[in-house]
Formats: sequence, C-alpha cells, structure tokens
Amino acid sequence: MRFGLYILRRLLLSIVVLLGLSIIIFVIARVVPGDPARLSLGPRAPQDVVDALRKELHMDRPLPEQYWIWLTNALQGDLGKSLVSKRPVIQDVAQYLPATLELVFFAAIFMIFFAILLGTLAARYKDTWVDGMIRTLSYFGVSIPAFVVAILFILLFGYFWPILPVLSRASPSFSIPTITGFKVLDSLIAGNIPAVWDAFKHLILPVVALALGGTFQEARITRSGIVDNANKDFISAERGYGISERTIWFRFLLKPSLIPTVSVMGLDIAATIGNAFLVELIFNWPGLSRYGINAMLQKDLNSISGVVLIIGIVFILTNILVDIIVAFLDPRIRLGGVRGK
Amino acid sequence: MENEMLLDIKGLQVWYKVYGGFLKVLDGVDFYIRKGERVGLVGETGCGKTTTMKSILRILPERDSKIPQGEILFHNTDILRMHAADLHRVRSKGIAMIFQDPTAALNPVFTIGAQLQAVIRTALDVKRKKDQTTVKKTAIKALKEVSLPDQERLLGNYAIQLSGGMRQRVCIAMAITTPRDLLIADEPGTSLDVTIQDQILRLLKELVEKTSTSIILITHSLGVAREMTDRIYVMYAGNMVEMTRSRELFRKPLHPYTQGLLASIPKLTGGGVARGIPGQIPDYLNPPIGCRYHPRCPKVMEVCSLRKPRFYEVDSDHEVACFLYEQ
Amino acid sequence: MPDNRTVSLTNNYNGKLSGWSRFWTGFKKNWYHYSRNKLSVVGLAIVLLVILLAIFAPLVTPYPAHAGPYVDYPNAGQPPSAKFWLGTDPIGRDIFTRIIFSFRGALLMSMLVLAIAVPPGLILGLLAGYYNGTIIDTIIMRITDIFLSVPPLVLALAIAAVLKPNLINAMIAVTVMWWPWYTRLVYGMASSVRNDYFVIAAELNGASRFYILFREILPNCLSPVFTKMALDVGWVILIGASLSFVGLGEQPPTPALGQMVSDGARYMPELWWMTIFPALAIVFVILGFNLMGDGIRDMLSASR
Repeated sequence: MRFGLYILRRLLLSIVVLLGLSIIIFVIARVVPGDPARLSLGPRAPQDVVDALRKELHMDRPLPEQYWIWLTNALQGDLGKSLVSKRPVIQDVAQYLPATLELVFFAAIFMIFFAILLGTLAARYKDTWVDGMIRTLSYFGVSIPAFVVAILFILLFGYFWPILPVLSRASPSFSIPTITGFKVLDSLIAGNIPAVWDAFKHLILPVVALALGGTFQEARITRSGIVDNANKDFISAERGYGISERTIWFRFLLKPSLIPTVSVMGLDIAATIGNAFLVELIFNWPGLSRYGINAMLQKDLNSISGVVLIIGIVFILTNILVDIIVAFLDPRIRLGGVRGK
Repeated sequence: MENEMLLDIKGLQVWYKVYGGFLKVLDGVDFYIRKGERVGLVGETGCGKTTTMKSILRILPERDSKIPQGEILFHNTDILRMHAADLHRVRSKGIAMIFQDPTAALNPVFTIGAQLQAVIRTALDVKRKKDQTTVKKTAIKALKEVSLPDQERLLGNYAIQLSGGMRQRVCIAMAITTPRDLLIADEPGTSLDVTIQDQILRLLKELVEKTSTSIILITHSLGVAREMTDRIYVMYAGNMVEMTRSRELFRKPLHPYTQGLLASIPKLTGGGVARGIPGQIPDYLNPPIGCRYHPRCPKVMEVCSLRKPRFYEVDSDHEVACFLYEQ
Repeated sequence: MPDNRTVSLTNNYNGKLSGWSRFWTGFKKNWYHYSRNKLSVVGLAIVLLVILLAIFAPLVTPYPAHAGPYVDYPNAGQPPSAKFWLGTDPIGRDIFTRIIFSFRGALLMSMLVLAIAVPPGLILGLLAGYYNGTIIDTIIMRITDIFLSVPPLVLALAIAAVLKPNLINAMIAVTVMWWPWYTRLVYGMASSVRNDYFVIAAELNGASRFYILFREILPNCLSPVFTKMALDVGWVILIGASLSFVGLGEQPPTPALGQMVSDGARYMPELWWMTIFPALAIVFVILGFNLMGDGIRDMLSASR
C-alpha cells in the first residue's frame, strides 16, 4: 500500500513537471524565434498576410493568455496544425509514434539482455582476457555515437554485405493491416509469420545502433555490481551453507547486482530517444523522431512543440516504469525500512 | 571423559594478497574441539579469528587468499584437501557458521523464507519444487526454536523489515535448521544492544545444551567467554597463544598477553585506572620475526625475537605458546 | 594497514612545506594513483594531443586555408594519398586539415558550455541541498526535474532549431539543458553532508551562509563534479557533433565533425573516406575524454 502511494505521488509530481515543461516548450516555440508568424510564412509574404496569421494564432493577446489558449487546446488533443503536412499535429504524432516506440522498446530489451550477459561474463572471468576484452570493447562502444554506428552500418550492410535491410520498416512485398502500429505485433496478429521475420530484420540495424552505447555502459555497471556483491558476507554465508555456485551466481548474486543496472536504464532510454532523432533520419525510419527532426529543420513550430511534449510524456512515464521495476527488485526501496508488523 | 575429536586444525597458515605482497595473517594456528564441547576463541579485532573460521568452511575470497600450509581435520578428513562432494557435505550438514553482522549476512533482496528454504533444501538434498511443505515446516520450526513469533509471516519478510535482534535470531535459525556437528558463532550480538546481546547469548546457550552440538564461540569479550564456554583459546596476531579451561584462564593466566588483557578490564571496585597494553598489533605485511607479541611484551627475552614458540603444555589442558614456559 | 609513505607525507612535512612544494607532492601522489591504469594515461595523451592540435592548428596542418572559404574542384574527391593524407572532400578541401580545425570549435564549445553551465548548476544544487526539505529545495528540484524530463539531445535540437543556426546558438542550446545534471549531482551530496556535524558546528558558531556553503559543504562535493566535468567535455563534443550532423551549429565553411560526416554520407561507398575519417575522429576524441575521465575518478577515489 505504501508503494501504491509512492506511485501516486510520482504521478502527481509528473503532472507538475509536465506543466512546467509545457511552459518551456511554449517559450521555445512562441517566444524565442522572434515572430513565428513571419517565420512560417517566409520573408516575402506581405505584411497584412503575416498580421492576419498573427491574429489567427492569437499573438495579439498577452503572453500568459496565449499560453493558456495553447495549453487548453493541447489538453483536448489539439496541438495545432503542421505547416509541412498541413494536417493536425496530433494526427501526425499518432501515425509516427508507434514506430519510434517500437524502436525504443526493442533497444531497451537489447540493452538489458546483452548488458547482463556481458557484465556477468566479465565478472565471472574477472581479470582474465575475457574481462579485458569486454572492458576494451566497452570503452569503444561507449565512445561511438549512435549516428556514427548507423552510418557505418549503412556502409557495411548497405553496400558491402547486404544481408540486412537498411531502409524503412518492412519490405514493400508485405502489406499488413495496421492495428497497433507495431509492425512486429501487427504481423503476429495477422498471422503472417514471414512478415514478422521481415519486420524483425528491418529492426535489427537501427535497434543495435541505438542500443550499443547503453549496452556497454550497463555491462560495466553490471560487472562492478557483481564484483562488489561477490565479496559480501551474505554470499560467503550462502556458500558456507553449501548452496551451489550455480544457484549463487544465477539467483542470489545476480538479483542484487542488477539493481544499479536497471536504475541507469532510465538515462539510457533518454539517450536512445535522443539518438533516435538522428538514427531514424539515417535509416529513413518513419518514426516520430524523424518527423520531429524534419519539423525542426523546417521550423514547423507547432510540430516541434507537439513532438517535444509527447516525447516528454513518454519519457516521464518510462522513468516511472523503470522506478517501479527497480522497486520490484529492491525491497529496501519498496519498504523503506519499516519494521516488523 | 575424553570425547572423540571433532575438528583439529594443525599449523594453519593463511595469506591475503594485497598490493605490495602478502598479508601473512595466520601463521601456524593450532586449534581443536571435541564432540559436545563449547570452546571460546578470544582475541582483539584483526587477530585472525574470523579468518580461521572462514578457512574451515573454505569461504575465504578465492582469488585474493592463499593457504600455503596447514590441515583442518574434520572427523579425521582434511577439509582443505577434500573433493567437492565431501566439502558440500561438510557445509550442508556438518558445520554451520553464524556471521558477526546479521545485516550483512542476509541477502537484502530475498525474503527470509527464501534464504532459509535454500539452506534447508541444500541440507536435505531436496530438488526444487518437491517436498515444498516439508521444507516450509522445517523453516517454521527453526524460527520457533529461536523464539521468533509469527513465523509464517516472517517467512515473507525481508531483512530490512526486521530489527537487529530479530535478524541475529534468523541467522541462528539458519544454522540450526538441521542438526549439525559443529556450530561456529562469530561474535554473536556484538553489533547489538547489550540487553539484546544477552538474550542472544542465552538463546545460544539453551540451544547448545539442548542438542549437545559442539560450538566455537568467537568473542572479544572475556566475560562472555567465561560464561559460555568450557575451554578458551586466546589468539594474538594470527597465532594461538594460550589455551585452557575457562575458569583456569581467569584464575591463572600464563601468557603475558592474556595477563595484559585481564589487566585492561576496568574494575568497578579497587580504584585506579585499568592498564592497557602499549603498542599496536603487528603489520601483517612484514610481521615481526619470532614471537609476534615480543615487541609489546613486558617479559620479552632474547630468544623471543629469534624463534617462534610452540604450544608448551604447562598443566593438563593448559598450554601456552611462550618461551617463559619452555621445558 | 598504515601506509608509511602517506603517513610521512601528510603528517610530518605538510606544515613545513611551502605552497608550491606541497602542490608538487600532492601532484606526484595523485599522478601515482592516476597512472596505475595504463588506459587512463592513454586517454590523457589523446586529450593533450587534441588540445595541442587545436591550438596550433594553422601550424601543424598542411593546408590551413582549406578550413575557410576555399574551393579546388580539380582536386575534389581525391582518395587518401601522400598529398592529401585523408583525402579531399567534394569541393577539394583536405580532410585531415579540416578535421584538425574542427577540434577548435568542438573544444571551444565544450569548455564554454561547461564554464557557463556548471557554476549555476553547482550553486543551485548547493542551495537545494542546504535548504533540504524546505520550499527552496522543492522549487529548485522541480525546476531541475522539468529540464530533465526531456531527453537531452531532444531539448538541444529543439532550441537550436528555432534559433539561427550557428555556433553560439548551439552553445546556448546545450548550456540550457546541461546545468540540471550538476544540480542533481551536487544536491545528492550536499543534502547528505548538510547534516554532518561539522556543518552544524559551523552554523552554531554563527558562520555566514556563504561560508558554510562554499567553505564547508562544497569541498566535499567537488570530486564527483570534477570527474563529471572531465567526462562531460567528451559528451558535449558528442552532442555538438549530433547537432552539426543535422546542420545546426558551426556553419560552413568552418569545419565541424558532425557536419563532415553528414556531408560525406552522400558519397558512400565510393568516396568512403569523406565520412569514415571524420567519424573516426569523433570516436577518437570522445574515447580520449572517456578514458581520462575514468582515470580521474579512480585517482580521486584512491586518494581518499
């Protein structure tokens, strides 16, 4: 029950944070660029057209009122119209968001799985060549920006070794009805197994490009978590009672060591979402980030604010989710030292 | 009334690897305990008590420690040279160790029940899901033995939810889930309130009397040792320096170190301030040659810095490692 | 285990040494800890190399003019050769020279961003930690949370996009989203140190807030801050490269690493050197700062 209250508090706090974020977004989109109306119409538009647009965008009202109008609209789902696609922003978001979510989701899975694998190997074979190799790889892995990996992948798999597709989400030969927007899921629902595999293949390269840095960083944290815990008394005690090495490694040692790793996941997912802006562009992945970066480059202010807002919401929710998982793993957080009955 | 020998440590040396060489902590430890005995091990912090005990179960840090010499005979088989299967049997059925700090000895992210049941399953050779009820019943029984209430609920609790005294009782419960030949209690209750410590020690005494399990009680308190044990070893800097029956140690301490220890106990009557022992414990990286106590010994002789004394028998059941008593 | 060397240095000689001698002894001790890990030394070497190359760029590069407005179409798209070590770009400029010159913008950006973002972040963290539990704490940390609620690169892109694309605006964008990380870092430490006895003692003695914050609490928070700053130089360079990859940041003809990667990508795979070398340069620089940052962290934690 205590934990339920903790979640509720987080959610309420998030609303406050989102409100603050909305103010910042509003400032960025409306106040900073000077004259948004002029900006969107271009330097050659006649002044009266610009003025008409200003009136339409409520720019003649005082700023707080403008903010209020914008906010109330946003809460009802109206994020304005995109200057580029000429459609309501919310529609664009709905179309492109699932693709990005799919990427981030699979990137997170990749990160956790391989981080645990590499970290455990490095700890198990501490100070041997395995450990040294993983450590060296980690240094490089963490230092290569995602967009560089993406470019290298395009070079490698696009030209020299075309075993994996480098563009889009699926081959045009498959047409799957869009239900959830997640190609893998939709293909599963449609029962089209080759399509599932095809969607998967398209995911591999962008997901790996996004996840690489985070994977290695978390691998190192996992390793140091295991190494720290391996010398603790409770592990010696368990060994002293005859509990098998296997059980110790896969159960009693692993669980406490994963906690710092999962705690860092939030940050790594942030990095993933950020990097997606470039990686989606490179792979021509039709996701929200590619839409966003294009909006930014074309100064499509409504789209920019919509995208940043949505990403803010997604990220805050993801953080809460990560915190829930950490609390699930670590009873010390859940129970906060409450005694006995 | 000579009972059979249960555990016999002979000439144990243990080294820890550190930057710059080896910490030669244990330098030829001799120790024995017979069936049904209660033996105390007294010594100041850092003298090697816990290291000795950990060597028995072979739970020293694998990579950073080394046992260059020594034998640990349990039921006449050398633990240090045992194969995995025999070692497993020693750990799961023969010897159980209760660690000093109960908070550190319990896995913080697993329930008490999970840990107890893991120990029980190992001891009873039970496969994972079978006999779950028996295992659970054994766990509850163990918790009852250590006077913990509300056992069923306790199984689902985590260490963080328990008070210090309760955690210590849980650690004891783990050690007595199945009958063992030998219990090792490393400074039980030291990290707790004196009143709680008293309860814990009383509990241990009861348990030992009930089952006539042998017990090695490690403590840095002479008073506790005297109350709870039949025989006491005094340890200094990696060696046993004196061993005798508990009453005898206080009546007639022979080793200068023991005498110094007893003199440093403040007395409520008699006036005056207690005398301490000048100096510090030696640097294990470069330990003194000869008797390790000689730099601080008020009765030091020339031979003390040249050779190491072994245990000399002064009386029946009273041995001292000091050249003063060399025959 | 008493370490004889440390004991004699700190106990016997410190009081009698002059300021510079003390500095040198401290430096030697720290260097001993730092150089234990060979990789950290490699990192330091890389960082020093990059800094020197950046400072002396016009002197060490074969074609300094190529870093400015310069075209040489006959030499466009040349592969690496003795004349152009890393090849030339689509309009004939030497890639090696341009990479070295791009270090200038990258380093300048990192240092300025950190110089501007860290002090306010630090101070806010100190204040929030000191006034832990009060409304000041709440306000500061909520504002910090707001800025941290969006992934860093996203915010930087958004801000840089609505401003005119140039180096200054890119720096502004990154600075705005960088300070909260330091606030959070310092807040954690300040709020726990805040209740330590020496702070309470100072308060009881009537020390001014200023004194307590800067002379008592701050020194205890500095090590992780320094480590983070060393690592952050690399990260700011990374974000800077990401920004210039999409055209925000340094504008042509001034070379920027990300922009070079993006320009060259169009000519893959035939003219691969146009992308690969700038990409490798990015990795090289970031690697250097990462290794160095790790070394600093090990050094600071060892000398505790």
